[in-house]
Amino acid sequence: MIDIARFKPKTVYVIFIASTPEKIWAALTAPEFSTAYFFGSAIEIEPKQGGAFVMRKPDGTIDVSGAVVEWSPPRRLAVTWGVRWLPQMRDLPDCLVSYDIEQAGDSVRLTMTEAHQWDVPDALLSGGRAGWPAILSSLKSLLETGKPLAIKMQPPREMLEALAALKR
Amino acid sequence: MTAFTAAGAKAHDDPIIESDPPHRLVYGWKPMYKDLPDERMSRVTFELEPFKDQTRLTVTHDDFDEGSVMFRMISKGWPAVLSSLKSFLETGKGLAPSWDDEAQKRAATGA
Repeated sequence: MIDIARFKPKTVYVIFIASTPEKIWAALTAPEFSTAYFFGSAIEIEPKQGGAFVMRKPDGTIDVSGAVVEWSPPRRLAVTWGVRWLPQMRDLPDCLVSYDIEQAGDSVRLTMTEAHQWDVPDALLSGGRAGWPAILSSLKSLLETGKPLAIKMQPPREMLEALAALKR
Repeated sequence: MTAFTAAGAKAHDDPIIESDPPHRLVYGWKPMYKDLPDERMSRVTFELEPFKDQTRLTVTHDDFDEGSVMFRMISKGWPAVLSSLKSFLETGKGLAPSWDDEAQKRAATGA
């Protein structure tokens, strides 16, 4: 089992959604939802601690892969998270992505935490800091209106430059 | 920039620092709610960028002193306010203020 204490939170995004914890849990763990809001990637996840976790792109290649660290529906999901779609990122240590789901009045607070087990440069965090707001905004729209956002994004240049610098 | 609570009390009377509609708005931040710590004015920046038929709104709230209590408060408040703004624009209905117990109590009593 991995030692979660080694992972330090680097990016936290909080969003309130007019929905239920159960629906948000389904949206986080079912491919018919993830393909709508996660840049087209389909989630495959074994519903248990230690289970395999993959986000698969529409062309069948792997976007992200990891393992389930915590599976506590509908309150908390944590997975190790290795970005595979960018070749330059494949050798980096996996991070830990966790979702906390809490009732907050009429709506539900969803907190995404991206934690890292090494001293990751800010430039490398820029991808997640651009991507998570888009992904989670789209998830909120999908659950509240039935329609996700159509967001096209490229990796931030500062992240690509930082990756190139790591290789040298 | 002035703002009032639901009960009609003045909550903000802050200077506009920069206004460039509909791209950028910057104003000072020193709310007038009761029982707030006496801290100097901080600064809020809103940036709007079109993204096809959508808009990316980036809010940056900075210029706090080290250890600011207001910083901790706004860190809880903005996600709730901005989530509610998004719901309101997309569905016509905002979310109830419920980002923490204190805010819930204030909302309930109108204080």
